[in-house]
Amino acid sequence: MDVATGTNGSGRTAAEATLRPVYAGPPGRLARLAFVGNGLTLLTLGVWRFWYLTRLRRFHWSAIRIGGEALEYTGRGVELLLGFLIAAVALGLLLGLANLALVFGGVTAGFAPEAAFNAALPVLLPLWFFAGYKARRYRAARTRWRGLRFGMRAGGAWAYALRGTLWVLALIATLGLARPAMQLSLRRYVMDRTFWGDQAFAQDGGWRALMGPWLLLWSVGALGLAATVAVGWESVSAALEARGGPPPPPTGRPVTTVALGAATVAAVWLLWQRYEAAAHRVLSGGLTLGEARFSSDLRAGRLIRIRLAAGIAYALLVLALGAATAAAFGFEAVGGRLMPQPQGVAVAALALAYALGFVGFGMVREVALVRPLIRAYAGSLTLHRAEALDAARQRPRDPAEEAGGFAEALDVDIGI
Amino acid sequence: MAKRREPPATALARYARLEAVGDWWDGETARPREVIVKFGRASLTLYGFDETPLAHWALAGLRRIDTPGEPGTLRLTPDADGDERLVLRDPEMIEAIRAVCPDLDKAPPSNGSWRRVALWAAGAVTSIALLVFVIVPALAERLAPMIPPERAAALGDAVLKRIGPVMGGGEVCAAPAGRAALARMTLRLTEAAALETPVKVSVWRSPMLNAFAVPGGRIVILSGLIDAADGPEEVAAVLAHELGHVAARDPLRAALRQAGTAGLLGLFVGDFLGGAVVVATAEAAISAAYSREAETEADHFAHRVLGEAGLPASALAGFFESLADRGAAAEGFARHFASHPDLEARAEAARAADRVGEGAYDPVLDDADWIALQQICG
Repeated sequence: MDVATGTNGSGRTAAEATLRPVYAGPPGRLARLAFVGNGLTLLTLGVWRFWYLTRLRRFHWSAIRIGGEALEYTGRGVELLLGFLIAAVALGLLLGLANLALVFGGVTAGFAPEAAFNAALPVLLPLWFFAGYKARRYRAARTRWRGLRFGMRAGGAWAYALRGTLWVLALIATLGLARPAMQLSLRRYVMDRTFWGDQAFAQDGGWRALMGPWLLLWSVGALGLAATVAVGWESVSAALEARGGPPPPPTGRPVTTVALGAATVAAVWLLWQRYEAAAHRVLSGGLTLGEARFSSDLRAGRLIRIRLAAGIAYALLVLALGAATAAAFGFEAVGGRLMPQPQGVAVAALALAYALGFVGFGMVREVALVRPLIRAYAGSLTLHRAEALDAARQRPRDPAEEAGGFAEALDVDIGI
Repeated sequence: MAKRREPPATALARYARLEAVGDWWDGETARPREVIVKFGRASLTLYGFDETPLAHWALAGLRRIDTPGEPGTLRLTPDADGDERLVLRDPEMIEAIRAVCPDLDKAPPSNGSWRRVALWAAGAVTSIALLVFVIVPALAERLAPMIPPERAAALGDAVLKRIGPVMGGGEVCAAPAGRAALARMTLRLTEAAALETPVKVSVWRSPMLNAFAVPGGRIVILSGLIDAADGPEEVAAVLAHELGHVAARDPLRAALRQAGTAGLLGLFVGDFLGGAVVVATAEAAISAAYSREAETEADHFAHRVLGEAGLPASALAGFFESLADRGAAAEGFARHFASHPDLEARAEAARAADRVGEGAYDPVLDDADWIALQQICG
């Protein structure tokens, strides 16, 4: 493998000008890790997930070799658990009181009751960004390469939360057109505060380069939606009017409507993969680390193939589980009737199917989706002028004690 | 991992002549150094290619950095928290180090992190319990009377729209004669109760044997309850019970309490599917604990109002008994989760509160009205 990375086999990178990361995590080992991790998470009612996540990160980090030298993840499960508990106390109190105050205030002030009950969501929005930033800082502080720590400058999480919240408002106001600018702005905020050793990352590059793919995606989506609604209006309104009553005879052009809708979804999905690949190329192309700089040659076709394959794997799992459950229920065609097993057997079969499904989905996710994606993203990168990094020095430790707690409690970016 | 467990000293002697090349990262700079690794006395010694010793790492302190994505390599640090790294790829050397270093995979010192976990876990449970069982109920108690009646009514209508589909469709029965009968029954009870808040009673078509109150004095009786009733007094008794909830503003308080506690438990259990079951069970337990007291209070209210109206409180007992006959009475474990306390005890309490007994009373509806009410759903 080291030959492919252009190193001389000793891990010595000094003489090399460009480095290409290689992902070399063995899938079998990952499958075993996901099996055990999801199983224990299920058995411990979710408590094990902190340790499982730590193990997953250790695996993926150490599978990524840049110049023959693997990344290292030094975080610990107990740190994630502690961060989570801290976040749970803060969030629990905040959410409970904020919800109550919002509902009381909303109902008293005469807002629609439904709106009052959903008012807590905007309160969560800044917290969501805050959580993402904190989690990122923790991950950086627990990552090493060539013996040197990554890290992020202390502070800035609230400013990031404010920035993110304002961008969401801008996104709503522009009906989504602002997304490339938002993505670049938030990414710049994060990368400009990130370090490897004493070398600073910097994010450059304009969002205009992303506007083309985004506008295409946006207009295809908007046009497709408009066309579907226009064609299907008759069928939809007939169906709505007949709600609760007997199904109406098909009116309008239901087949055309469904076909148009499906075509729109498929086109938007494909264009989304194209946008994602373009965004990775643009963002990587604008990223520098000290004197070194990055580039990426990620293609949309790669993402499409990965996600389609993962979709097939999921579908096969669902089919297998469905068949197994049906068999366990003992559906026998006796005179056209289904003969269920006694209740105890059925319950046990359902519980088993649930457990298998939980573990199975977790395994498919890691092996068929997450691993190929990390591999594609990491493998698309090139690090230019890497010799400039030889002069890097260590940076001080960052305790980053909240770990990913807020992120974990809010379900933010628990991915890798 | 070592297949043969030998005393380390013997093993060490066996590997005395072994040497291998490794990469040494000093943890200060980003430059690796190729080193020759040999065993010394109770240590691992790193030499430069010119034979100068660069570092002595005590074997007892050596720790492995777990890198599962990098099979076939051993990544070492001289102590659990060290910045230096030694990366070995020589299988013989890796096996040797595994054999002589029993503590290779020993967990790093916890630095009190488990004690802090315990403290924060206790803090989390305490503060959430305080919130759910003390702060939020107290706030709901104070805030509920401050909501203007017309706003409470709007909230009630929104709640009805939500629960309609759950309660058999929410189809309102509106046969005029039945509605007139229902209005007469309601008036007799509200006058007896001297209720200040206006109430709006309606009947929904549903096979379920139930009635409920939502904020704003909205009361719904399901037609299944009227079908199962032995006479109009049983329906009136249930209505009186629901009026008790209205008088105490129970539905409004419950809505506020729910706003304060909804979603809290989800925070703790996380995003896996089994968690949803745990959360639902725990939330059911909490809301049942809240409302048992409210149910008892509403029963007492019903006993009093039925007495004032000159109606037999024992009619409420009749309703509870038909509920029990239908198997709706929760037994054992499930009882804790039922929002209605022990039906038999409640029936008995209703009989004890009865002031009419075997004597004559003015029926709440005459026969024609009772028939009209029974046919309210057409």
